[in-house]
This record gives sequence, structure tokens and C-alpha cells, in this order.
Amino acid sequence: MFPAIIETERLRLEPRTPEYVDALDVYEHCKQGAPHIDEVTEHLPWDPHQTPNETAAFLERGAERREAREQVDYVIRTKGDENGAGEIAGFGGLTFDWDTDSAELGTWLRKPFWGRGYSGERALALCELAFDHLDIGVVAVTHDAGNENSARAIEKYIDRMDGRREGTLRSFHAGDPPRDAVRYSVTRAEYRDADPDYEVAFYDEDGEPWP
Amino acid sequence: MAVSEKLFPDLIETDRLRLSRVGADSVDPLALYEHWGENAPDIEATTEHVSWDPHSHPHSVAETLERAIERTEDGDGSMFLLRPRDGEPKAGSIAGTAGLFISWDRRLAVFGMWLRKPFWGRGYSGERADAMFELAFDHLDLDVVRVSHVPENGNSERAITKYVDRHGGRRAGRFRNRVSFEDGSIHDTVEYSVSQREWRDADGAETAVSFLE
Repeated sequence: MFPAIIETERLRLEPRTPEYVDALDVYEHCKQGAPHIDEVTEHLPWDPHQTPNETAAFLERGAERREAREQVDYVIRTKGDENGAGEIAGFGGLTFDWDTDSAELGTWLRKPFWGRGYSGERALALCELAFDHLDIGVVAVTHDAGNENSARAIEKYIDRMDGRREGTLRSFHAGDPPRDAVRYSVTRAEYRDADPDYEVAFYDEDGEPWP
Repeated sequence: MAVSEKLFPDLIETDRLRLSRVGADSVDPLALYEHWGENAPDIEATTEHVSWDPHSHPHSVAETLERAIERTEDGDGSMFLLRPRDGEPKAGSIAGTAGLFISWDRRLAVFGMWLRKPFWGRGYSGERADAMFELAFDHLDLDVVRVSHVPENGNSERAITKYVDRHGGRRAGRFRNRVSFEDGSIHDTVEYSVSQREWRDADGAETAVSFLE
């Protein structure tokens, strides 16, 4: 039901499953002590991994949720001439709430890949998947109230799709203390009217055009 | 009695209402079915904007009550039956229900409410809210109370805006495709929240509230 490979102008996305990405490679970037890991995870709902076993479980959950059509998450790599081409840049995907005809975007990038517009590129590609192929009515995204970098990136791409900032939901995430989240959304109609300009191509497991 | 059940009072009294906790109040499902059944007076109007459908048999009323009791035993919230006190019209009859849904790891409570039509427009929702805020903040030491309504529900919007303002809270905004109802329909919500600090600073209760065993 989902494409295996998503290619944008500068990015290549592959499924977050043990088949497509090695747990030890991912562990290097999300383990305790990995470069900038505390900065990367400051506003994210997970902590740096303590063992490769945690990372392997993270990939297995990715495969399970994909199989159950609860979530489709991709490992993000840069292509061609981009700095760090071929390296793991981060992850990004959609979490589905079929009952409300909606999906939520989620992503994280390693620090060397910040500030290059990759988040928006990934978001537009996933919105095309959600709206044009999966017939989702609303795509939503939240960021921690204190996360200025995410706020900037999200406002920019939500604006390109004529979506809107909805408001702040207090105590949205569990924790000590619980954290507030700012929520944004874009509807299929808004996305179609905005008709944002970007490149994306979908492929199946064999590299054939999808769907 | 489960230890968690002791977190929630059996009975709360405000100036005009008695709120008795489902579980402590062994209400007969058949009595509630008279108000929640498909043929109950005004049931279409009173359930138009709520997530649940009118009950098609008393058994599903009993199940709803059992789920409420389970929630209390798990420490995750309570359901109270609202009855007007002596001196009020229709004193002693069931006027509605008030729910409290708790997420401890977020230190958050969510309000729920259903009121029979003859009891609309009397400010009972605000009076119940005064009691629930005191329970959530003063007794349970939660940080935030959240409440929402669907955008089409003007009555709830008026009632909620009034008591949220009075208690120092705020309207967060309109959130799209946020809930689905039992009938499969999908709705936006308008959400509000009040923090414990805002509630204390505002000191906005308009009724005395007492908790009884």
C-alpha cells in the first residue's frame, strides 16, 4: 500500500525497516554520545539509545507499523552532489489516524543536515503521498512549543501548502514536566489549491514506478 | 474498594447540584436508560454534538457504567451523576452526567459533560466545572485541564467560554479532523485549557464546593 522508495530533488527515502537500513549504522547516529545527539533529541519524544538493541527494536517497530498500516516511516539520505550524500540524514514519515481521515508528519534530522530545507522537501513529498495516493483529508504536524528550528521549518512548508497554524495544546506530551505542542494542519483542498511546485517520484521494491 | 477509587470523592455538593460518583452511587442502568435510550425525550438534541449515540438497549448503558467504574478503579477518572438539590426545579432527578478523564503522565484532565434538555440554560455546566476544577487541581494536583467542543455546538461554546474565562484559562484554537464519533463521523474541535496556576490566580469559582465520603 506504500511506496518503497521516494525520491525528491535532493533526497532519497527508504523504508525504516531492517531490510533497508542497518541497525548498527543507525545506532552510530542516535546513540548516547553521538555528535550533537543531545541537541538533536532536545525537543523529540525519545532519548538517545543506550544499546544497539534499542536501535534494532526501533527498526522492527518501523516494519511492524508499516505492515499494520499505522505508520510509514523512512530513512532519509541525501543524493548526488549534496554534502554527506548517501549518509543517513535522519528519518521522516506519516502516522495514520484512519478514523479521523488524518495523518501526522514526524521527522528528525542529524545536525549537519539542518538548515538546508530538507525538512520541507520531505514534508511536501509525504503530503503528496497522503493526499494524492492515500486519500487522506487532513495532514497535521506538531512541534514542541520551545522548538524554534522546527517552528521555522514547519511554518514555511505549511505556508507553501496554504495550511494553517491551529494553536498550542498544553501538556500534549508526557514527561517531567509534560510538554506543550503547537499544531498545524493542511487539508487536501488547501494543498490542491496551493499546488506547490516540487519534485517527487515514487518507486516500488523493485525500483519500478509506484503505484 | 480499590485504592485508586479513594482518589475520587463519592459525592460532591455545590450550591445547587449534587454530583454522585458512578460506583459509589449504584444507579440502576434502567433508570439511566430512560434518559439515554433511543426513545428518550429530546435525545436527538442532547446527543447531537457528543461522541456517543443514543443507547439501543439497557445492556449498553450498563456497559458504559461498568467502564466508568473500571476507569475509577484504574485511577484514570470518574463519572458523576448530576442531580439538582432541594429547592431547585426537579430536585433529585438525574439532570446529566459529568466525566473526568485523566492522563497522569501528562498531569492532565479532560472534562466531559452531558445534560438533559430541561436543565439547559441554568448554568449547571459552569457550576459542575467549578467542582471538577477543584477536584482536578486541589485534590489530584494535576497541571492542566482541557475541554473541547465541536465547532457547531454553540451552547457548549457559550458555556465553556464563560467558565474558562472565569477560571483564567484560554482558547487554544480550532483543530481539524481531531475526533471521530461512535457513528463514524469526523469532526474538528475547539479546544480550551486552564492551568492549575491560572485557576488559583483567578479564584473564579461562583459556588461553594464540598467533597463528601
